[in-house]
Amino acid sequence: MRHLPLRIGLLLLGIAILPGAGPARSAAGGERAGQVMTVTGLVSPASLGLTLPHEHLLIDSRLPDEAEDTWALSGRRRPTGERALAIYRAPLAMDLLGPVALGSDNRDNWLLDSEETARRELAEFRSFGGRTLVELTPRGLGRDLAALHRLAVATGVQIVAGAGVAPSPWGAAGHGPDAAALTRELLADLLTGEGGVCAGVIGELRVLDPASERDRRLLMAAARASRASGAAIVVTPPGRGDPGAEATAILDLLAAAGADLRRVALGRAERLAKDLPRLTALLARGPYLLFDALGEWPHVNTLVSDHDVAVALRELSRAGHGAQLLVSQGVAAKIRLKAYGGGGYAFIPEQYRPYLRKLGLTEGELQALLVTNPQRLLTLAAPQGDAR
Amino acid sequence: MSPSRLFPTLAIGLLLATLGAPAGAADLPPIPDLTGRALTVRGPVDPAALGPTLMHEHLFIDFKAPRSQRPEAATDAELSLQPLRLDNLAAVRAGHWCADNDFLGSFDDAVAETLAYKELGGGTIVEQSCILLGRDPIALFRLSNATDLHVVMGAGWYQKAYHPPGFAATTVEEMTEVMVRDVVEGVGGTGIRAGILGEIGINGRPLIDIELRMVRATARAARLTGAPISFHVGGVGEEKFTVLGIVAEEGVDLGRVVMSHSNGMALDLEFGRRVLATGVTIEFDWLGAPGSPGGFLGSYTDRDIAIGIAQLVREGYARQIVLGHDICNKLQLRKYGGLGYTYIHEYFLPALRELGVSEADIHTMMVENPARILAFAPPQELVGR
Ligand SMILES: [Zn+2]
Repeated sequence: MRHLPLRIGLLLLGIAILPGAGPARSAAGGERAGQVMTVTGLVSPASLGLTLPHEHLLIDSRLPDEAEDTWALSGRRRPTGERALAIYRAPLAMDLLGPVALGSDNRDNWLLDSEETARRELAEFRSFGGRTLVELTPRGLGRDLAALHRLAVATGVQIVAGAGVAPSPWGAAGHGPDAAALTRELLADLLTGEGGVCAGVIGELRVLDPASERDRRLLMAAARASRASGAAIVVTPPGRGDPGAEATAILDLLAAAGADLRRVALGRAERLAKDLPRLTALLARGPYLLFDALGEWPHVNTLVSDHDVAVALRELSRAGHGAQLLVSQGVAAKIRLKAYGGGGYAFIPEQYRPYLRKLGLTEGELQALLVTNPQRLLTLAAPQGDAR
Repeated sequence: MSPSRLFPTLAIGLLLATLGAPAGAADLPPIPDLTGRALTVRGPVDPAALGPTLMHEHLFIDFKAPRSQRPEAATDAELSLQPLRLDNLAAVRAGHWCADNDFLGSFDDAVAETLAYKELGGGTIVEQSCILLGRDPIALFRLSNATDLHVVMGAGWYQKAYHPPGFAATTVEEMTEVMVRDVVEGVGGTGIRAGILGEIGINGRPLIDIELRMVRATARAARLTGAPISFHVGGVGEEKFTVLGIVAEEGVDLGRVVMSHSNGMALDLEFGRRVLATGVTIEFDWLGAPGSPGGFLGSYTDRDIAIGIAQLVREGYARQIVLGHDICNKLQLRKYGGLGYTYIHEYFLPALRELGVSEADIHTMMVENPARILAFAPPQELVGR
């Protein structure tokens, strides 16, 4: 029998948006700054251990409908042709794992809704020494904080939930709410939570087009919520255009809105893994580079492999950037689970850590990558008044 | 029980009986002249009929042995005994050994998987399961009839761990005779004939005595029958040149030789060019495999291989390149989460096109080269006789 810790109530949304007042204290009265907010409450950063900063345990990213617009907004390409449609509609079974891994869309693949499967996969992570996992499913994509709480209790893995906003076509249409409303929404997740379960980080922020009004508002809200709560930001670039330009545009917007870029983790960094000069230029601005697509089946359309990422991690560590690197698997679909032949949440501790060691990363570098850096990212900073 | 199930035991019996008898050139059967014809399990055909050809596959294979390689750790040993299923696929893909994965024995599965290849325009599959790898002439013959695909069967011996007991004492003459009979008379009394000598298991790091004898015997069998040769690896690094030197010494044109498992040459182009300069064909295979034995993690991907191939093609080597999946594990099949015999057509060739390889060069690699190589050369006397 479980019962959720009660932290609700005292902090109303109205208070939460007054930076510097409420946010520094939880409802229970403890200082948040210097601690890490997990779904089971505040914990000491030292307790985090091996931590994955970007995963999804429960998510439903199936398209809400089959309209042409919906497909366009999702950035996915509508399957055409008899075989592609048959694959799209069928439940994901063993004989579809190949084509789906190579890019065939499958509706069922986008749904992680079994708490029991999540529990088993998470236990697997724990058995390989995993200690903490950051679950970044945003509201609107099947986020279930109560379920995350149950999973944390059942497995002993500490879970940090994300305060995120679903991108279209799952979230609000058009430009979406204004930045103030978005800020309130993020702060409510971070400070009040749902049923007493609070988010501990801002993300996943999936940016579709940094030039759009919608994403400008989103990044502005994230920057404000980060200042007001002390929580870090995990942002996912679009992944469609030039990776360096996308990353730069996102960092520019966040910085302009007052975010401390040292509290930002920039996802999809693997796209630049073969371009160390550009990665180095991004690092100079202060953010963490988050390589968050590890553990996928490499094939002929794989432009950057886990090996390429490993080489980049080694070279950047040797160049003195080891304190700004993060790795995660970014599991968000069935084929990534061990239950469907994937690497699962345990891929990094089970397979990648030994591989990195083999490539020459030192124990100290691995400790930074897997423990110390995520710990620093997730430790809540002291809230700052919003000067803007 | 089907004849194909009874067959392997019979074949081994016959093989050992053959090896037991003293053999010399005088014992060789009369050798037919198949010049210009490819030899499939349904008999000789005009190579022009072969169409797109996968040069290195296994439709039926059993290489669960050797026991010496069984995992030591208890939970790995437990996994090694389970049938391959969805719930252990992740572990097997990640490189944990599962004996069932090293076993393709279902006729119906083989038909379904190869029909998918045929639907995409596939014409021929070169099946390189050889002695003690579960080679199954009757099943190959039936599959060829069931699918109307051309199937070319292999001959000879695989690497050392799969050699029959006492094989180390076999003479070059004895080996030559077994391979010649497989090509001329057919395998194990079935009358179904091998159309390629391969995959001949030469690891060569360094070459050992039995491998040197296998190379020489294979070259002689090729000289006598006109059959092409496919070496598994064919020696590591510089050893390849020793292997090819022996083949040339026995009077076989190196254009008749395919070096399988040459993926490394797409990365070390300098070495690849040196090998290509000998006139052999290099084969890129084990394409599209979802992990195992190395797992998903490796220093290069199919993408890197495709980039290397595109470069070699730009340099004019298209006539010396062939492709295959080397399917030998269940997890490579569609049924078990893989991409089956269609990955090259569905994914690899489109990537090559994207990298600038022309349709004509793809035709050269997929159709013309296999047809030229599989067409028999004129049978000749051994050198110096
Ligand atoms: Zn081989």
